Amino acid sequence: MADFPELTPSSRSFTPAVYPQRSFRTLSGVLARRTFGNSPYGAKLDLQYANVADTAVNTLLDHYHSQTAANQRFRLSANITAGMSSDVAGEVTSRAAARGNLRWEYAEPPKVESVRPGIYNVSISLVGEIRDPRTDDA
Amino acid sequence: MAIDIRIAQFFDLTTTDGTRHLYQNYFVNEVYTYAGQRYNFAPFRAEGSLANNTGDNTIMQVLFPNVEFALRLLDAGNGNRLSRLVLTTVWLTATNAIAANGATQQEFLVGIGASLSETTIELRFRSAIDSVISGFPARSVTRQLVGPLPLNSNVVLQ
Repeated sequence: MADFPELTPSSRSFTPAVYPQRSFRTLSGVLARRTFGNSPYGAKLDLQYANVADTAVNTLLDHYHSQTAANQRFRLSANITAGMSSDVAGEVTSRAAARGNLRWEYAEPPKVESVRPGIYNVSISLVGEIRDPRTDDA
Repeated sequence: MAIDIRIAQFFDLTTTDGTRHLYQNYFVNEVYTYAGQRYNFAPFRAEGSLANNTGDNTIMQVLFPNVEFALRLLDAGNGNRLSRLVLTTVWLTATNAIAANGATQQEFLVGIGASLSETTIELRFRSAIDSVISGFPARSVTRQLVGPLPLNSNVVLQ
């Protein structure tokens, strides 16, 4: 249940959550869209850690393994939204009910690139899923 | 122009011991009160036909993820063979409120079994109680019962 490590990324990219909708085009050309639920899901957050040391890489990989092995979603640490206003940080963390009350998990394993001995670039892709009240942190 | 369609379904299953299991599939992680009953959220999907021109008694499936509460439903209904279901479909407005003048569809079904896969549990239902065996109750169609028999195979049940 550990929150994401308190490491500030070098860069980040955020895609808001999508809504559970399916569209189909009628023969007359009019678009019809069916909504299946009232909560958005699937926000994406890509994080880059440039030129970080062994300890930081270890921390990130440990977190990936412990959360993924337990199939456990997590919250973002304040470092992830460092420098953002509280409104934008609220959008990124997506913890408001209207934003899906999301908890995060790894979309894929982190990518670690060696720059030189003891220095690495790390890329992390996270995806936000609707919080499960039975298993996820409040 | 885009047509907005929002549909919520309310699942009211009564199992062997008379317990009612109430779920809805639209309001995520909410307990939604509908018609005086409180429905928990469950991500189920209902599909199948409920009526056709050869009479009813067609099969409908309700698909649940293979999780603990769905297994409990299965267990309580003796493999979903002894349960009965009221499935209510309501149309919603763009603000997710129940449409005041929208149609509400309510179906009454009986459980006829279930199947499991590694990720899903499918509960199967029928829209009518079936006979215990084929041909029961034993009654044959005679001219006395139904009048002049048709010359072709088209029979309209009204």
